[in-house]
Amino acid sequence: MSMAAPVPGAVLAPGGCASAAERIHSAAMDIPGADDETLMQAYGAGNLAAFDALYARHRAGLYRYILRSTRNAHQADDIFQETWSRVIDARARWQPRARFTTWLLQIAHNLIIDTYRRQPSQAGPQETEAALATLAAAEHEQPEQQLSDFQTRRRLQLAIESLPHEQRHAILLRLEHDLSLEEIADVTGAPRETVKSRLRYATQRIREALKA
Amino acid sequence: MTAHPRPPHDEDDDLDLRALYRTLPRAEPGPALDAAVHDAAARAAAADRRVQRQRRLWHPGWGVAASIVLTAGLFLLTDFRDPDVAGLADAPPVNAELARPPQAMPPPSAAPARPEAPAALRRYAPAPQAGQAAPAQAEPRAHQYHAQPDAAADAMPAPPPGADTKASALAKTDARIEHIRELLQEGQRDAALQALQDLQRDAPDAALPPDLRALLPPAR
Repeated sequence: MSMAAPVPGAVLAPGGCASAAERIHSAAMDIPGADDETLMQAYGAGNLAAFDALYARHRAGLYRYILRSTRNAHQADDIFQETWSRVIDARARWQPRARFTTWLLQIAHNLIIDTYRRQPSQAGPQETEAALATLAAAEHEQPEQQLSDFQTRRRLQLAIESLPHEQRHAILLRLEHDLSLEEIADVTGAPRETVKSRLRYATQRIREALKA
Repeated sequence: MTAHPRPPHDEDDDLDLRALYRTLPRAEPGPALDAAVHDAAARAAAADRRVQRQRRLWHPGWGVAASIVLTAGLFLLTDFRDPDVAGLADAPPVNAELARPPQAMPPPSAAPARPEAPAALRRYAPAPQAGQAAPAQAEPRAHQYHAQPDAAADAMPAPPPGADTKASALAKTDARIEHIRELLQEGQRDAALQALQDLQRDAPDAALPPDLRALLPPAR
């Protein structure tokens, strides 16, 4: 499986090597204010609190991306755990060449693709319903509004689920993580124009489903 | 942090979809999944700390210090007066004659004879000058080497004049010893004994190998 390999000797974040190292190794490191790349480097230097902060930032978004891509809760759990295992394994050699988010999603995306290849049969309607049923509705909405919004959300979810793999991955990266075309291209390994085309088709299909 | 400015593109028409997507229920990993990931990260960090602690214990300076102590101990325990330890048991004693500094270059007249030029070239050769060595002058010197009765010595190449250094003398002695061994292997014991006696006579200070020394008659 191809993964965004950390590149040794890559350029460090602005501020210089010395200041970056000081920030990483300092016991009084500003973890809440630190960016993802600094946190990952700090964890590579043995700072477990930095990993906890990094995990807290990305756990929900990553899990949703995996769950809505695979449409299978068990597979999503496995891929989620494996993704973080690979992050942990790469802690010592990781260098901030690209955004941590892009690298993290690349790992998850490749694992999802591997799962498709190993198990080409897609999740059935029951599994999809079970996965979607775990997504509880918000509690602050009124009953009538809840019904209308619930139907809209259901249509959106089903429209996303019915998309082809490539279009679904592209639109999920766009909607869930607000990634740009270039970042989606980096994560999926597809050319920018291909990503643009996938997004256009996916958006068109979702709109048609919402109008139906 | 690495800056990744988002370039403008024509896909911003999905703003309403993004807003609608954010209203979807926010699925999250379960507590067991969180705990499993946290435990894996903690185990890895603990392993890193163990490795770092071991690296601190096995600092390269300790290896250097251990090497120095070991070397000093070997020097202290070694008795260099024992020739066996010093590796000098088989070394030949220093020949006083050979140990002398090399003499000044001999006059040109003592230079070795040049090989005679072919007759065709000899016609164009310049007339020999007074200081130059003449073939006739080199002739007795060549005879001097050939007059030696030792057959082994005849087989030895004539030493170059003025190059009577220790190294060449040792090399010559070694060559003669090698020749004696060859004679012994060929069964020519008498010739070998004669060559050995000649060698002892020519180089009385040379250290003979024990096996060859045993062939010589006991000294009176």
